[in-house]
Amino acid sequence: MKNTDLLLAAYFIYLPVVILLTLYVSKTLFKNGKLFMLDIFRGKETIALATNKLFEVGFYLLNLGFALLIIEINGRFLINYTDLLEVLSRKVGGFSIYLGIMLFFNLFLFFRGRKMSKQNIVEKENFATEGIKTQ
Amino acid sequence: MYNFYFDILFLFSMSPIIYLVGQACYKNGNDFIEYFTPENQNITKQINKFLLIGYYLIVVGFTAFTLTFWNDISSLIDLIILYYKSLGMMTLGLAILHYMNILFIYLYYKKS
Repeated sequence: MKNTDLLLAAYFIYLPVVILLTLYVSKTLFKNGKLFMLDIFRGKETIALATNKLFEVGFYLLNLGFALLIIEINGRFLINYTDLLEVLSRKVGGFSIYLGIMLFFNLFLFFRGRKMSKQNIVEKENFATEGIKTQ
Repeated sequence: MYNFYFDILFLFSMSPIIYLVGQACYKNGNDFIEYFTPENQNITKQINKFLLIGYYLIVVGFTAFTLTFWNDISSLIDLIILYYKSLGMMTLGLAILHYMNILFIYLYYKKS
């Protein structure tokens, strides 16, 4: 197989795989993220869904941008199908690891937001009870 | 000569993406900003509009700017690499701006 054919095949495999991976991870993360948002914003659906959607758009932009930025494959090292498989494995594998890290980072942000929201509720309750006591 | 057609192709393929992302951010941004400025609907709309205008300026500017790098496209491979790399750079830049906007709005209204 010619070098350019292998390169084209590599791009035609790499692109759909990374796009589908990003779509799947994003859909899963932000489908469940709605519940976190509703909890953080204490049931206010409008702001919860809006924030969720904004973070989802940012997630898509960031990860698809990164996937496309690392698309370049050096054709000199693509001689046979083995090389094709190795190059693709390295690229897709590396991107999967990165996607996993982004997923955990987003989860961390959700949990932190929830913790801060709970802290705010406790502080407000304490403030209210102190107000009643002083009266 | 082919460069001209590729430039047009790039611009046309970018346009729906630019528009859709802009609309998604505009609609949800309205609700997001309203949470921080509930007493003044006008401020919400104006901030949101300014963000949308800024977004379009940056994106259209960057799209046109990337065309300057489209000098010698000798093969399909070069086209694919250049096209997707330009798209990647733009989306990554947009992501950074997007998160910065959210952070600034949150921090500004948290302080006040």
